[in-house]
Amino acid sequence: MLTTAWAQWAAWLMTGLALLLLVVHDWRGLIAGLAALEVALVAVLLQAWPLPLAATQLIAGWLAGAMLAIAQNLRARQQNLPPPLTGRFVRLLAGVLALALVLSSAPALARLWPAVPGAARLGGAAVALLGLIQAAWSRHPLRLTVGLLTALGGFLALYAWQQQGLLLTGLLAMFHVLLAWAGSYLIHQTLAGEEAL
Amino acid sequence: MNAGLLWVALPLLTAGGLSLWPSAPTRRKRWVALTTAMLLAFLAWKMPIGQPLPLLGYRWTWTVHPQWQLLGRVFELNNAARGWLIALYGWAGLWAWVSAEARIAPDFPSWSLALPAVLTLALAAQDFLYTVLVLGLAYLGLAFLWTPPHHTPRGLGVMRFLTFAVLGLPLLLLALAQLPGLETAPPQTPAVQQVGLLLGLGLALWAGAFPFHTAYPLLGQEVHPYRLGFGWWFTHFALVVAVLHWAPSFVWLRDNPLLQTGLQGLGIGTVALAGVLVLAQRDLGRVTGYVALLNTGWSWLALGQGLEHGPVVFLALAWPRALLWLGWTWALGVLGLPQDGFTVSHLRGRGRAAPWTALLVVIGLGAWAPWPGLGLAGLLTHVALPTPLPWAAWVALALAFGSVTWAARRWAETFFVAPTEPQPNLPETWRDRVWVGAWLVVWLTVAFTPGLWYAWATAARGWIP
Repeated sequence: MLTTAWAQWAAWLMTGLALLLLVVHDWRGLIAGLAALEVALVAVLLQAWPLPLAATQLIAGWLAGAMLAIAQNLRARQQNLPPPLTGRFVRLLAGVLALALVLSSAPALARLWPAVPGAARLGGAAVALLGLIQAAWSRHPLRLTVGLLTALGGFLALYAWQQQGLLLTGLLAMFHVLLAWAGSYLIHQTLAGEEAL
Repeated sequence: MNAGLLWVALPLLTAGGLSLWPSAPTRRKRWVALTTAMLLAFLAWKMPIGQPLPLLGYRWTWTVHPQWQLLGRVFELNNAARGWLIALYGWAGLWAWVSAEARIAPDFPSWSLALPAVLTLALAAQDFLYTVLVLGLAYLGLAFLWTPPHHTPRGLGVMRFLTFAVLGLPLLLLALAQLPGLETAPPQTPAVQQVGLLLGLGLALWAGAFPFHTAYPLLGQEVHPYRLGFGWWFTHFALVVAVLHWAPSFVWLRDNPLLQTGLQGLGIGTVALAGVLVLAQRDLGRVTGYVALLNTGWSWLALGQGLEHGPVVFLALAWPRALLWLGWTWALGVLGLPQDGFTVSHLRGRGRAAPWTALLVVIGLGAWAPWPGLGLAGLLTHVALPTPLPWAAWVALALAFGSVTWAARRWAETFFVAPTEPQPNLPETWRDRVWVGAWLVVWLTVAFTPGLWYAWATAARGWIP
């Protein structure tokens, strides 16, 4: 079991990583960031869930990342040029605004989820919102899937204090993996179509 | 043997086996799927769950136990579930059977078993939390059904659908986590209002209700209509049945008159919006998306009749609507051959080569309109509306009626006008014509005999407390 101080640091690290994911362009960076975010998430989850259940989430998260990496690796040579610096700056600005929104709604969030510790509550809400921004901003299956997985990670950080159970954890892990599978399948199908042209 | 092995594990294993049989064409695979699905529907119809069934003159008996456990959680399919089990597997069998005639890729027959099996597992969960989780998995699975092998996604429809499906799950789970203790709370309680908002948003995202309907027209543009119709109808039906099974245990949901009025208003608004938007489309694929929205509106309108009468209306409407989806999307698929093109330019003059199929597409589209007093899809809703609607609602329904009927007329004109340039039209086969004739006879019989379906719907209503 990690100490509360470690879990707090993990919650802030998770938020920082979600913000970083918003501006990273290279797919390797996206996958590595997602994998690191899952580690931080598990550190937060360990406060609420026993180790085996939290470890399931880590395995599901890393498996999701691996599936996306394999699919994306197939089309790595077809990468487009990176977006202009202004695009990344606007994303970063949107992310910072989202963080400000979460910090300003801290009292409301505390009323909403009183059982969740402060750092996990703020971190979870921030990560969910940043993931949502990432998903809403994406037209590419990889970024969209990473955004949705990030949002789900933020949600889990909030939800772990509300419920726990073997089947629940298993189904949530399956949901994670199936989402990554669907994302990598869409990446692969898009590649197949481009090759056929 | 327990019911889970029969109605969940068996179809899932058969679906797995079918997907591992890569070289077989759809025409061969569909027989396996049809036989399995029809056997399961027949068993649901004839075999009481939990009672010994005599075999060979009482020398042996076979009992299907209603309950089973999965990682400590209870799942149950009792006799009250038999109504919707017949429907799910009956429709699955029909969809599998017709798939070869719609020239669908060979992965489809396994989907026709896998999707109903997963939805059955979701509906069998005794805790709504697990129903929601398994339904979430089914929604994610639709991405694979709608993007078959060798099919390149042409737009953002599947991705938008995935986004809505994923975002709906956390909202529903957070709402459910706050529900314990609120069973008998009055609707004005802040906690109830908060939970109601989360539930409403989550369910709206999953049901594709306005304003989250935008995924469906996009999906219609990039997914084959037969696949879209199958996936949409099954998940829509299962979601409504699941919510109806669970909602009555909460007094603030059961006895809330605002909910009934709200559902009616939402239903009429959705029908009117979708009806008008159907007229503006120049792509039959997008029309399919808006017809899905129109159907969502019909469901809200039916459920807006209250918890006593609404579920019966919804269930009684289910058979004619399922058959209409099946026949109409099949005809669309055939008409879009050989390139699965559904735009006006692709379909101009197509009715000259395939007149029967084109006729079915036009009749099918017109049948989604709210026809007062006719035995088409709208009949049951009109017959069943016990409460008088305000005049604005009638204006909205009339608007939808006019728009959809006009759209059907305009598409008929497109199909039968002389093409401006040579088209790679495939003539319809005699088998297609037999299918059109048989389908029209079956569907009109079903649509004109509401009494028959009311009996089934009343029996199936037993699942809802």
